[in-house]
Amino acid sequence: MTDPLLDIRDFRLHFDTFDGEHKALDGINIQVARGETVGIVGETGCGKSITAKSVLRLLPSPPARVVSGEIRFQGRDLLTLPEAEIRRIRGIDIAMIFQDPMTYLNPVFTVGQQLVDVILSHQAAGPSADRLNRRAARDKAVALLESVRIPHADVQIDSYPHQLSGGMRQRVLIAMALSGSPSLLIADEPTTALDVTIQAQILQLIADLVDEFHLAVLMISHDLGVVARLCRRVVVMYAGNVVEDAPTAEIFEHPKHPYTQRLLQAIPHLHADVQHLSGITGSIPNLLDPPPGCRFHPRCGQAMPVCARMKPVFGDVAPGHGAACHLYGEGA
Amino acid sequence: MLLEVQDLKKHFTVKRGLFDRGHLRAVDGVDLALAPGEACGLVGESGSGKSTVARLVLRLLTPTAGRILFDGDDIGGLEERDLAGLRERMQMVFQDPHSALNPRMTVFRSIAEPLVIHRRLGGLELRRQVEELLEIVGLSRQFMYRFPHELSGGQKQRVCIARAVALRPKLLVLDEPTSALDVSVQAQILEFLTDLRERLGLTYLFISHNLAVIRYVCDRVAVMYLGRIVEEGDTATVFEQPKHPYTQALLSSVPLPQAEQPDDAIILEGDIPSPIDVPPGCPFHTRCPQKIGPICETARPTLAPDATGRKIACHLYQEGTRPR
Ligand SMILES: Nc1ncnc2c1ncn2[C@@H]1O[C@H](COP(=O)(O)OP(=O)(O)OP(=O)(O)O)[C@@H](O)[C@H]1O
Ligand SMILES: Nc1ncnc2c1ncn2[C@@H]1O[C@H](COP(=O)(O)OP(=O)(O)O)[C@@H](O)[C@H]1O
Ligand code: SF4
Ligand code: SF4
Ligand SMILES: [Mg+2]
Ligand SMILES: [Mg+2]
Repeated sequence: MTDPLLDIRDFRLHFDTFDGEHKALDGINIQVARGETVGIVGETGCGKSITAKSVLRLLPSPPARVVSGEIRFQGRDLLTLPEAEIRRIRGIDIAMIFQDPMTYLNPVFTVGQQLVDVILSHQAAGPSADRLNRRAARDKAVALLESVRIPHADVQIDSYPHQLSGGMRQRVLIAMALSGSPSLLIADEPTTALDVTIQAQILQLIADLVDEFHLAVLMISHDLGVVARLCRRVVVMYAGNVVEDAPTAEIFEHPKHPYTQRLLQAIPHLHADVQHLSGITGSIPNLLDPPPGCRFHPRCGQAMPVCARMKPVFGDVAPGHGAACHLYGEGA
Repeated sequence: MLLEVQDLKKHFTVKRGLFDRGHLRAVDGVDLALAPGEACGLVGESGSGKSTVARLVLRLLTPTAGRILFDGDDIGGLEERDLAGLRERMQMVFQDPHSALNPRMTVFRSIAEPLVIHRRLGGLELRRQVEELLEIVGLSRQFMYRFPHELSGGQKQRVCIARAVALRPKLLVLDEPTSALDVSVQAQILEFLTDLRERLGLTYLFISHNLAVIRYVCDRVAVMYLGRIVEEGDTATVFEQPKHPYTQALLSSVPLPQAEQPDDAIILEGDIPSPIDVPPGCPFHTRCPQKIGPICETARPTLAPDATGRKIACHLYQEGTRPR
């Protein structure tokens, strides 16, 4: 098997705060192959966003502190690259889009001005022979807006962000993300703030771009439906751990980890008269003092004595399907 | 009917620039009826007018036009001073339990407050009733003297619900009550709400943009678009055989948490128009994939029942305007 495009290995991240040490990521492993679409799901605070931000080294340190592990992109460990190198990768080889596009758009400049600036700044990083002038950069910007299906791109390019709808702003952000011809797009809840008919448009757009540009996508969402629609593989996180990782169909049809199973039983269905929903009793653990052993054990209906003592090792439970649970460990 | 809303309208005057004033049609002719004990869902995208309908029904807003009949009374025109009695008979639960609770009040005081104000209870009787309410919402007595910051999101929402049912209202208006919660907590609250309705014989007007949540909680559903109801009927029927082109697109847009994904999803083009510039005729005509013709741009379709009692506002289904 060829090397994955992105390879997060045994990555452990803590936050040093006044209250103490938040053990936010507890040794996670996630791989994304070229052109692959991978989803990360899990409830609030499980570590989805900080995983994404760690890849781009966007977390200020302190308070964030890498305790161990590596994040390899095209074979190079991003954690040890000099800042100048990271800047050459961020936004160019790896692009990111977020839930709230307005945070990343400057309200006082037009979409076109911002897009042209991004295009020119990417070029400054490349060979001088390929450099475009502002005029040519503007043409490229229009083309990018067209590629994200913004109608009348040549006119809309002169709009200010506040003149656009939420869906249109997210398209602009995707256009910016594409401007560096990235091989990996990290999308952190990109449709969470959008209406469902607009969300459907954006998901369709991302799916088209994946085909068109052979883009790999790491899609983060708390909505299992979003991930099911877009991704080939799903990673389930709980309290700073990857608890399950499998092809999408497997996750929904044969979930192995008790947390994944309970999560699926907790969601109401659009096309079925469900009589009974089961929540998960207890609450998400405090990461200052996480439960020892399996972090899910205080809420797990299948917990055994070993679960409170030993952290389960992540391993294959079926071909291409991994989980971290003592139910599937040796001797279980 | 416990609640009957007829041709209800709420228009706001909004600034559109320095001199220009716009007319925003938040709710633009809504008819709705709730039988006692029923759970009726209101769905639609952002800005379609769901919360405005809720606030009109609760008389937190005064209608621009239309009638609101509640429990035999015409409450649409009631003055502020006459509304106190209404508050005892209908209550509201909001999306954000964090901001709905006073951070300096214990759980006991939050739940006791309506009983003190409206029933002038105190002492042992007050304590007894608060304990009973805590039990109803599934919180143990140990929570009684905790402050909101010592509670999880789901626990806070339970306190809000206990407060809302303290005066034993007939109608509970719930505006996105689980949208701020994680799915595992949402499941607990939804279970509890369905159970509570039966136990206390409550009627729900339940607002959500999450259609699966509506399917779970509600017997009936009304779909809103730009201040109007476009389709209304039994939840299972509407969700399995949607008739209005907007309902069809809305349902088809929902990504399903399952292995098989439909490959014929209807993806609408364009954005939802602003409620300041509601398109004439059928408000959905600018995005409708099944538009019949000029009639959709000029004549507003009325919400009319079909043979089974389901109501649809679309020229495709209206006698006389159907081209076929
Ligand atoms: N006090 C007000 N003044 C002016 N416009 C208002 C006011 N209240 C609501 N609106 C507008 O009325 C329309 C309907 O708003 P409403 O809050 O009822 O929508 P909603 O369906 O509840 O949306 P959401 O799903 O986002 O909660 C929106 O365009 C909103 O901006
Ligand atoms: N700057 C910070 N200081 C301390 N803890 C943090 C910080 N940022 C994030 N965390 C913690 O890390 C955990 C994961 O956060 P995050 O990745 O944002 O969650 P989500 O899965 O909801 O995206 C949470 O417990 C959060 O409180
Ligand atoms: S390791 Fe034990 S506690 Fe953790 S999920 Fe598996 S069975 Fe449950
Ligand atoms: S009335 Fe016309 S435009 Fe409106 S939903 Fe029906 S077919 Fe579409
Ligand atoms: Mg997040
Ligand atoms: Mg609302």
